Amino acid sequence: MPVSIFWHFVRLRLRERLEYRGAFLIGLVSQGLGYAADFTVMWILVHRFGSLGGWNWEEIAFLYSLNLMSYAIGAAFTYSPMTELETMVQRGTFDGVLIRPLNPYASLTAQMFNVGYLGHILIALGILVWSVNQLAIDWTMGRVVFLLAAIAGASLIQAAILTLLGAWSISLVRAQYLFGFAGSLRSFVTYPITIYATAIQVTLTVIVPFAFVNFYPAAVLLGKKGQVFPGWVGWLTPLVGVGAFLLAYRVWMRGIDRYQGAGG
Amino acid sequence: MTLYLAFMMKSFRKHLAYRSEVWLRIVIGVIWVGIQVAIWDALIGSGEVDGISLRNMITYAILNTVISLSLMDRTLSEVDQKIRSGDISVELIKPFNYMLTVFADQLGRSLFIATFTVVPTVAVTALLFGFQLPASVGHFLAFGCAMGLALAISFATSCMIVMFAFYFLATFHFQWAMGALKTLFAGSLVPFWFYPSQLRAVAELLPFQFLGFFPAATWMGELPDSDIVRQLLLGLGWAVALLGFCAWLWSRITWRLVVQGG
Amino acid sequence: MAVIELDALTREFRQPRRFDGPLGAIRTLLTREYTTRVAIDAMSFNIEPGESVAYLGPNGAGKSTTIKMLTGILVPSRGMARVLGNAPHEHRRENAKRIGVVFGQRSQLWWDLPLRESFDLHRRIYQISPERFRENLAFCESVLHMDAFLGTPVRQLSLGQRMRGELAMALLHDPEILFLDEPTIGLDVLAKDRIREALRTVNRERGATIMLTTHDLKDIEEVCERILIVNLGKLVYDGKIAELRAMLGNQRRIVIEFRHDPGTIGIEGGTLVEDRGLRKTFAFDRGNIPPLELLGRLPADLPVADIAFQEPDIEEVIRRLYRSMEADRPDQEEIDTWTRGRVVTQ
Repeated sequence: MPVSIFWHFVRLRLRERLEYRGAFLIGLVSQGLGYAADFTVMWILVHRFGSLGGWNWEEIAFLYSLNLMSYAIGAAFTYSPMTELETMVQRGTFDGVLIRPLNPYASLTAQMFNVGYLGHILIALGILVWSVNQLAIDWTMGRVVFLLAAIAGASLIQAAILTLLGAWSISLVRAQYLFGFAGSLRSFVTYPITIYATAIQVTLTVIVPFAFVNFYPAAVLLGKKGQVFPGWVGWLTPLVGVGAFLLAYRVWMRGIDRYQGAGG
Repeated sequence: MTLYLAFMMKSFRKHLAYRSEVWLRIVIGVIWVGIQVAIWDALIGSGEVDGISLRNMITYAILNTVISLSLMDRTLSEVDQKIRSGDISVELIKPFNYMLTVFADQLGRSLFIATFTVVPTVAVTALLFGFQLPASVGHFLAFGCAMGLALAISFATSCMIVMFAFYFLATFHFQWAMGALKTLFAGSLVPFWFYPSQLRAVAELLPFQFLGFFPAATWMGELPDSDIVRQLLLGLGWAVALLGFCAWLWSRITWRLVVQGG
Repeated sequence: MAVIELDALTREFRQPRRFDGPLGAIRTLLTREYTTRVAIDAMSFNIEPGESVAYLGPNGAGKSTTIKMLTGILVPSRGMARVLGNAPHEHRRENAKRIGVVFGQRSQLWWDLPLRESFDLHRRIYQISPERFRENLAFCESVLHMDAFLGTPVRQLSLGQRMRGELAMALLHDPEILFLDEPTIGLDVLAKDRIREALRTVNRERGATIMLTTHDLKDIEEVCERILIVNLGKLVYDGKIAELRAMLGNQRRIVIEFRHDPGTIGIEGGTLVEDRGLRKTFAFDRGNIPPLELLGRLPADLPVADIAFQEPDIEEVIRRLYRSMEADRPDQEEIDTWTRGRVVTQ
């Protein structure tokens, strides 16, 4: 599907959202409150215990901002469609997507692009800028490019996981809980994964690669050591992102095939 | 009364009909606890911080996890939809109190969760990580009361969110705001013992403590008896106030629907 | 060459088996058994270009399932379907550009934006040239009387306006085949008229093939030339509306309103088809008896208050057909009477 059509969808979504201007602004405020609460709880923990696994407050804030930013970008494309897919299938609205002469994944993500995540991105950007200012990182051109690529890769990972959940929600009934599960897994990369047992680190690195969303890229930039896996795997973040997304996309398309009765 | 009981049992059976969810919930509960245990192990290890050991925090984590699962805080999406589409008027014609049926329905769900998720989750996590029994029979009873308050308060807050939707068209924002308050003041992840003293003082006045910290701390016997009694009374006051507010809001909404036509 | 071909098309659905009773809920949780439901059973028919076909059947007969398979949304379990020469599922996107689909109960329009935004998006997705788009839009505007509300957000439109918008959108890309799933459901009389008129125009002036599922028999009478009836996944009737009408034309009815119930009475040459005490309806074969003579056959001393001649409509045929199909042992004779033996045997 040409980018121009995708972009047109996004513009339409933006216009739809602006029809409810007041709600949009209130949304930003309430989101801000939500994140402030999260942030405060983190602050309480770190404040009480000094450092966490050798990471200080600014470094943890940096982790937090990467997680939030990549989630906001990934979810802007995939959260709405994937969480509502099950309902759309039940109501038959999904058929409307299949009627179009477009790739169903692209069509669905474009049609349900969520402009509301803009607020999240702004908040994440703020925290990112603040924490980066406090930290002594030697910003070479290479490092800047890496940061951008890592954020892109991280966003792909976040989108990939939501896509996988969407794919499963068609086959399992009421898989809404899976989304909550992934969310709780994700919230644990809020803290540096080195504080967790090996099994958990392995899970978050190899099985559900949330650790690549913030920990490994940050480890690379901050010169931190990994534990089960060496810190330099962080350089692979963009690749992990692309790989995870392609896999998720395939599974999703396969799920749609199954919905249509092809392949069992 | 039997009518509402019937609603509750119907809700219980309805939840029984969904296959994969039951297993999934138990697995998720166990993993969630495991993750919290990992954090506290890293932070406390084999020693004690502020008189709290790792064993204590494990019990705390298990309790909070299952408490969170059993609360009636899923935004009542059905009610929400009905209010927005106007179908709620249909419910008003029926010969019973709609809100009570919603409560009964949620209670049925909580009963289902308590039986099929809480018990197995506690059993599994107790085996894996260890679990402390209630400090005494009295503490267990106090815990029971606290849970009653938790159910009432969580029901009231989610009702409020849904009813605000009637006036403001979006539950989304209030959910976030309420979620923020719960994150900060329920103490589900970080117990009040580790809070800075001023924040703790505030938290102990608000209703959210009953959604996590207070029931858990009561079970564990980590609060002096006088505090327990005092907080239970405070909780009762909050429950009555919040439920009363909900009832009032509901009457305003029904009045508006009936008199003004929504 | 036919634009739509079905050959022994079959579709089955598998569902986990549900158990009854108090322990049933738990057994359902644990079971690995499945039941198979046959939604479409070896269905075969062809539709030629330019035909307007009504696809009829009781609820649950398999109408939506058929349409889904023809539009490529659902894959057949067995058998073959060809639309525009292609297997619909394998060539979904290709065919999508040449067919239009209107779902009566599901909207494909953007809810919070004006109609013209949905149309504009449609233009981009289907890659319609600007001139063609303008032409078609003008055509739709005139045929569906839409100029007044193109700029209104869709959520503010009445159902009739919205359906016209849906139909217009489906026509913007010059589809060769139009599939419509209950397009007039819930509409007022004027809106229905407009939709039907538009469909007739599109079929006759533009040669679009139309396949329409509906419960409204007026839709069929006004728009379609051919009627397919499906029941329990099987095709039970395939014939022209004109034939049905011709057949009915031979039937004539008299409705007599009595001043007081005369009890059971008979009229020579006629059959009592409906007895509501004071109101009785008799059916006659028109060809045989001139109307005046019919009246003459009524006993002069009958306490008649009013008499009316009634033309039976297609609805009557369909109703009888459905009723016979519903019966445990379908009355084949009854069905034959009404369809003059045009039932498709399986």
